[in-house]
Amino acid sequence: VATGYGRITAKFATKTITEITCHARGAHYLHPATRTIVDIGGQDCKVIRLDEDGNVADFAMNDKCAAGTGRFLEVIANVFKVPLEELGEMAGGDAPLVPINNTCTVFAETEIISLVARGECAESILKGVFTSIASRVAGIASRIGVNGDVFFSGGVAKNFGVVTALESVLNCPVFVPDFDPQLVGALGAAVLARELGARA
Amino acid sequence: MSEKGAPFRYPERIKEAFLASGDLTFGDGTTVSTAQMWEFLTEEGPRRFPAAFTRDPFSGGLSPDVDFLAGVKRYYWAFTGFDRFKARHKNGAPIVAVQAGSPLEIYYAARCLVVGPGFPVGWLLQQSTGLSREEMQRRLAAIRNECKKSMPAECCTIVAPFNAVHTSQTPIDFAAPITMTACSDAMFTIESARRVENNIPSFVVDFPVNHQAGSWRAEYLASQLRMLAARLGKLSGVTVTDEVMAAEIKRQNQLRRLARECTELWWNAEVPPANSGDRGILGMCSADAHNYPVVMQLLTEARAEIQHRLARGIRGRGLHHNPVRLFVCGSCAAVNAFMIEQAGGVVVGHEEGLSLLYMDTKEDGDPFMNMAEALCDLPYERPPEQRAAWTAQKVKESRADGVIFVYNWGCNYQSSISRMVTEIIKAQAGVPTLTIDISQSGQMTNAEQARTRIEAFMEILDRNRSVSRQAAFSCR
Repeated sequence: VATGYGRITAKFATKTITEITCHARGAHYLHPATRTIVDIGGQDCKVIRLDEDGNVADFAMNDKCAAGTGRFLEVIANVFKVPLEELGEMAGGDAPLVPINNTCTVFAETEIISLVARGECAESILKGVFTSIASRVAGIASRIGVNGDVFFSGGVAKNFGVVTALESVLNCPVFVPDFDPQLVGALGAAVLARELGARA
Repeated sequence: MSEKGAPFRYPERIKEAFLASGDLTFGDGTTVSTAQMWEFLTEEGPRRFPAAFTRDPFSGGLSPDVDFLAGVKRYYWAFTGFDRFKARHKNGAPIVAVQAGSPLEIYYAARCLVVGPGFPVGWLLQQSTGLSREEMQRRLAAIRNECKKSMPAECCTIVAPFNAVHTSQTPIDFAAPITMTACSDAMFTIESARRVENNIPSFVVDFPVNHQAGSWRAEYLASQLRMLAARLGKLSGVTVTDEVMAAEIKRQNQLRRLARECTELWWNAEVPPANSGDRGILGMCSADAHNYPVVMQLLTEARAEIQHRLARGIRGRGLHHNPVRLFVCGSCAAVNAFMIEQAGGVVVGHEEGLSLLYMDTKEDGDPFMNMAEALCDLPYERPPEQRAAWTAQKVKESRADGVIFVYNWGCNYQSSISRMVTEIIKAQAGVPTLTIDISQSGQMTNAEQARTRIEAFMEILDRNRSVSRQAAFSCR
């Protein structure tokens, strides 16, 4: 089973299944109580609602805009001249949050540069950035509703700051797997391949 | 780098059956034999339009159902359409730009050549024949970019290219849209026409969109339609009398009745007898006097072929076994039917097209008033709640498993009501819905994202169907 953008180019695959269905099955495999998945990757953000068997009941996506995606974090990491992996930990202290008003990645970058120039500390600004991403996700989630256990997948789930902000904005605990969150879709594809193989 | 497509050829094995099918006769009496059509489709066509005669890995290209002969024949009609169009324009028929999705009786009655907003791009593309698929895509992108330079960013992807008229390379004689809600951007057509360097004459029919009840609405519209008819007639030299208008209404009604019959045959078939692209031919419900006999013939032949397939349980080629049935809503709504079929689906209908197909115009009495009343009652132009209720009914009749509402960037009215309409359809037809916004630059820029959304939606629908089947089985 091939999944993800470009799945149709995997000529060796016997079946293609979207990453939405694969993430659902992967999350269900890792945490069967999952009913809502937040998946934030490099170029889009998805909220997926599941039934008790790990099937997709509904989903909503942002794929038009870099706001609320991993690309947004890459831009911010560049502003602070730090590796992407260190960004989350930088917001771990007690400094107060500085709200980021712009949703657009380009304008947010400008706003952050202004905040840095104004003397705001990186920790406060980053808390604002993570809350901005979490709020964006919450807005998408509100279209389909958040129910049951919330599972966080995709590369952005590795960012502790976004996880904390998401829990705060959604007002519920967010489950991040010990398994690499970037590979949940691939895991789901493998689970589905096993099911299809068993049926054949 | 784009993937190369394989050349597409019509197989010799269908030649005999194709030659035995009917010749095409146009409104001016000219006839094209099946032998001439076959020669075009196998020799001249591939030479002139190599891009079309290529199996495109992303959009498919010509229908793979080569045994659906009415479908094959319609390609001859389509590919040679520009040649006839140019010849008629040369002979004095004026080209009139209209709003996308408009009923066209009044323009046809005045014997005008009617074009939508996409015409200038099509015209410019036609200036260069023999382009490969890659060359065609590059040329199209260049034209679109050129057209957008002097058009406001909020103008939609479909209407913005109309700005190509400003290059004066496209022959528009008159811009006369009816400003219905189907298109929020019709006025950009007028804006392009009125640019100083063009100075193309224009006339706007002010469609009363406030949905208030009362006879004033139709009377107001009828008075404007009469003015439009006078302007069109002056241009073409044809006086649009009540008799001329009444005859045109009658003709289009006949066409709609036949197209409805064909569409409903397809809907009610246990196995879809034609693929999404070929199903489109069944919904052709508009043609000017020149093309009218051809469209009637294509529909009649298509109906016979559909009936033949129904009797034998033949499925349209290109379709999966028991495909997921998708109904598409929205203006200028284009979904990649090839992609949907590859993923195991089939498109059962388009809301905007079906609204025109089910438009009933009275034939007795004042034809302009009849036309105005029909326009006011057009399902797509009703208040959103009523439009959604009508569409929900068509979703049920077409036995769709799900609905996709598609709108283009800049299509303000459709984007603002899309969620309301889909929520009502979901409640009344009991099927899931999906809303897709096509980006400003057109479908090319977010093809993968759109594919993922649509395929994931189809996976949900397929899953729903299997659950329903299991439930039905348990009940038994």
